[in-house]
Amino acid sequence: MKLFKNAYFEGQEGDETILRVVRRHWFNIFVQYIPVLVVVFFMGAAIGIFPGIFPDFWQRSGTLFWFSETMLAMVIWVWSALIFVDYYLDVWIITDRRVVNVEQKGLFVRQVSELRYQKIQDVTTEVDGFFPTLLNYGEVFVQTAGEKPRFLFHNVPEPYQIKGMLVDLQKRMQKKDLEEVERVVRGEEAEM
Amino acid sequence: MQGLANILYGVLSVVYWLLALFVVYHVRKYMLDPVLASLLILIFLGVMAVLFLLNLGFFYALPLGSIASSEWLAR
Repeated sequence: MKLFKNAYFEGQEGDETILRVVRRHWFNIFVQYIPVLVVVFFMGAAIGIFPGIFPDFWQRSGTLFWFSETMLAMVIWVWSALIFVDYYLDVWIITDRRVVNVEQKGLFVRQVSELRYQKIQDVTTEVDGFFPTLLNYGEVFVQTAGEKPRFLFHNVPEPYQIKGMLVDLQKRMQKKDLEEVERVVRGEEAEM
Repeated sequence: MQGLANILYGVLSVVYWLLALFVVYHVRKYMLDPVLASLLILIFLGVMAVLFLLNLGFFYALPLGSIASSEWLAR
């Protein structure tokens, strides 16, 4: 809990506490960075190889080569930032009251949906495939009674732990609701 | 040639910095931890500026006139 002391998200209720912030598993962002790494590798290789293979061209057009390299580096840097933004801002925030799902698609599409624990009907975990099994990540489906029938945690680490946490929070919330109802009923009886 | 190259480079630079602006806006507005967000923005903009200045330097050092001539291509 100490980790999220300074954290704040848009729409956070006054005394709402963030219990856990979940992002997609690191392997997911690593896969997205593979093409970037390949391009960076070729850029580096070109710096080493080019002068040896094309000495004439190098002498004549070294500036053109470096201009192209730096231009490519600029593109790579912005591309990397876009991947990071897409990964880092795509987030599930588990609070003591609800789950907030922020879905960032590129720079211009952002969806925010929330799920109250009272509306949870069923939670299912799915770890499917070699890498997900090895690295312990997968999907958590939450069946709800709300507008959005299925709430999905996509490629999240420790899916079983998240499922346990959601079920636990849902039970606590149900218990709290029951106690509230009992208190109201008792109060009404006392008035009569 | 020089004029056309300048215009094209100008447009590309504007697109580059506009993208940077959008990235900074998103990180600043939506990131949960404001301290980490500021740090990331600083690193991101710092590297962007260094790369841009390097690229600008190489752009003005380009022998654009001779590249456009058929003599350069034939060599």
